[in-house]
Amino acid sequence: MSNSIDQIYDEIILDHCKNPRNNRKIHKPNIICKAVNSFCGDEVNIEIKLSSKKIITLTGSKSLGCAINQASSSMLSEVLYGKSIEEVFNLYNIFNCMMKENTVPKKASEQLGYLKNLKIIKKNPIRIKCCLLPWTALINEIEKI
Amino acid sequence: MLDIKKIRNDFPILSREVNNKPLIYFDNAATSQKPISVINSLTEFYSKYNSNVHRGVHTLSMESTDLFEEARNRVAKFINSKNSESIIWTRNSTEGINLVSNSWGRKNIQPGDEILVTAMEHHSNLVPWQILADINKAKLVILPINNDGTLNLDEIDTFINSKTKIVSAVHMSNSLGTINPIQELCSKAHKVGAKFMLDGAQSVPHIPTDVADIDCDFLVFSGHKMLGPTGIGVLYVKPEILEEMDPFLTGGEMVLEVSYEKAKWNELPMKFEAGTPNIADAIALGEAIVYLENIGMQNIRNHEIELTEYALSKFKSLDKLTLFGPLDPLIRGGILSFHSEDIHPHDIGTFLDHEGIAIRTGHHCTMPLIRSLNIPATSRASFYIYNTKDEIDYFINTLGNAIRYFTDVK
Repeated sequence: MSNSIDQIYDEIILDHCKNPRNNRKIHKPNIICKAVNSFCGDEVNIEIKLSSKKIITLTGSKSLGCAINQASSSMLSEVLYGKSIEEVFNLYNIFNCMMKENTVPKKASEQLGYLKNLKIIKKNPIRIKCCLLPWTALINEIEKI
Repeated sequence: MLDIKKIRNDFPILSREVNNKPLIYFDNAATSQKPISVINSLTEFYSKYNSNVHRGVHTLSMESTDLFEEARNRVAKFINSKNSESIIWTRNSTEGINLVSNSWGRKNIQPGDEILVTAMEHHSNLVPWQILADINKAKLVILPINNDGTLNLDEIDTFINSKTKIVSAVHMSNSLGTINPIQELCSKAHKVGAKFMLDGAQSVPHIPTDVADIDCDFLVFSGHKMLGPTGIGVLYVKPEILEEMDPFLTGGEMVLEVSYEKAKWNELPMKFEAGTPNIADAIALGEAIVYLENIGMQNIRNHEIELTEYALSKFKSLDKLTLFGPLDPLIRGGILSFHSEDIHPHDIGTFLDHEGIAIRTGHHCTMPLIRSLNIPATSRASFYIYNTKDEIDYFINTLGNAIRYFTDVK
């Protein structure tokens, strides 16, 4: 396989696409995040369970569409575990900054963990929206809390 | 047989690389590449003749008017229109359809009348009629398709009836590749006294077109899909209909005499060409037609039948893919639209792009059609005169790699 294609679909993205994590519906979710890009058919379905202290204790992600949307949804469903709503907003701001701006302060960037791998999608700018769709769906819902 | 090597040398862009691979351009249904004669024509016009048309008495203006009208004559001859007054310059097919729906449509469509289009229309041959039907309180009727992507003509005499006032149909579907039996649709329309409009955006660049033979009332096509520049298109209208049509856009060029109170329309075809037209691109489209005629439209069609037949046979080696449209290359243009249950078209498009292959992915501006297939989008490869069987081999091989890349579980 040529190296060039691996610069868009790196190993972690492909792994999450082929083996999506938390691929399930959960019982009585507190938050249901849905989004559709009717132009390309990308679809996000993320469900979240909160503890009484508003900490995320369970997630389910059944997203459809392109590899990037599916991988981004799967990765998001993993990183949400144990986070408070405030921490999710903070993480979104850093992630959004990484995907849309040029630089992210090093200290902030460390908080992204393996989400940093998604930065390579910026090499194909038209696909950034596929990557951000799960995040947009999530933020739209938790803003209502 | 076309001399493909010679043809390819006429297209400078075909020698460039994309992602360090030779470019394979399979997005011709979106827009075609341009031969050097068309590119030079643009430079030559702006270097030697640039001037407004139909206005000045100076030499440059007369020369540019001559070149501009010569291009119109070439278009008329190319589609076998008996007179060049029937050729109206537009920006593209979309503008031509909007001109007809706004000018002829608003005047002639009465409440309760029916407008018939097919289920495989491009948005450009659907949305203008939706608006007209809404404004004039008419009914927009959709002619359905069969599973193989051909038109379902079982109840055509119900669909084309005494209420039908216009039938507007695509000749070659940009999404499925289907070539429709337009002669039959046209004669059925005329039998009930309806007009027939042909969307030739995909067909005129690839199939010999004869408006006298088809007997269509309106024909639209775009220059950029037939080796010409973007921003120039053509609307053909039968002379007797054109005489009775009101102008669409108004202002300069389209008037003969203007007072503060009213205006008298210019003669045809200028009556429909308000404002300074796209002079350079119209002249360059004339050059594109010269290029196509030198090769011969039937030769082009034969070449594409051969490529399509070859590609269809090679597709059989790929499993996990659904191919849309009829499998008979005689009723199909050089357009292959396909879908994989496991891989999104955008991933296929990105993968192929990294190997130098340009295809189109999406709904191809036929959203209702793609939705009726119960898929979000398709991948589409489309051919033209400069494409080869070697390119198809490389494409099929790379497509196989893409399928394995996204579906093989480690």
